Amino acid sequence: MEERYLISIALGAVFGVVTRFLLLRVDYRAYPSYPHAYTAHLAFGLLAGLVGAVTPVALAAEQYDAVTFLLLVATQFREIRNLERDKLEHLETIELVPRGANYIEGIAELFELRNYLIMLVGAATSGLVLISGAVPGAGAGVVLYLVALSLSGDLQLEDVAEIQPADLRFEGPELFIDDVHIMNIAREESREMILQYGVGLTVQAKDDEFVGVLDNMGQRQAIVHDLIHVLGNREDVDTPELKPQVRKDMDSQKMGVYFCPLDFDRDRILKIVRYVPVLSNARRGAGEGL
Amino acid sequence: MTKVKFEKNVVCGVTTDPSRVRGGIPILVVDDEEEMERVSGLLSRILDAVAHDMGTGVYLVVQH
Repeated sequence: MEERYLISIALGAVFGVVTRFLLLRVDYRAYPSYPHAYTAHLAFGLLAGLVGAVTPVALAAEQYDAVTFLLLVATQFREIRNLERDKLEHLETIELVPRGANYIEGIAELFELRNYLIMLVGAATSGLVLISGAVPGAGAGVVLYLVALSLSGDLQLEDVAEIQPADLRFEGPELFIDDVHIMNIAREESREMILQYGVGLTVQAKDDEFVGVLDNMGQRQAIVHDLIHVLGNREDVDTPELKPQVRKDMDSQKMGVYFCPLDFDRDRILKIVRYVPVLSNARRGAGEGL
Repeated sequence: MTKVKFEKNVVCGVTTDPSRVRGGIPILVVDDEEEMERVSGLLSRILDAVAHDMGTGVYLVVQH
């Protein structure tokens, strides 16, 4: 094989796997788990980058049947989505505050999509190296990486909603956050416990378009899951009154978020809620094209 | 498959006034408000449930 082909493939694969590595951030969502899932995704990233990188070379060398392997790999990537979904769903059954089906589907989808992105970065880098030489090709690879990074970003809750801290209060046995009714609590002791440990937030959609996003039960679950996941949970199986709740006020369409964290740091709480991803499957594109 | 469940289950009632409750759930009759608070508290913890005030002198213990 010609040397320039080898350089093309190598650079394409390297850029692919580096992109994958940089897209794999272990953050507060503690996902993917380190180091096991991390290793698996890097391995998949290497494969994706390699296959992407080989494609332009195969085309240049007129080895058209090699391109069909691309299809085979695409099928494998669909498996990644299933793998992630299955794993998260299994874990879901033992969570006090589950992620919710929409969140899981979003995560699984993202893992699949990232592999396609990497394949494209690998293919484009390798193709450009082939056409214009190693250095400009590598430069283009960096640009492609930045494009991939911007594509993999998603809307966050702060983009679609106003988030405010709010006080919890009882009117008789009824718990309210701001003017959003949350639930009915009969016992005095429970009410004291809720006032002591509970935290309230209001989330108001910035636009009619986004009311539907907050209505989505999966999106609501994602909000409380992220909060509890980072801040800890006061609730136990025998204190369901401390279970996080998200309820809506009929008049203003404002959401009241109630939860009982272990960490009361207000700035941290607000930061977490702002960064909750807007789940793509909670967005319906209502009104688009009308 | 994970299921999102919204099932609620009324497990029992606690009241000081037995004339205000009928039907197929266990009813605990107590002497006064203080005992109602204590008994419904015990039941909530035992049954992993929450006591709700019906506003009629009856507490319902509901699993969520």
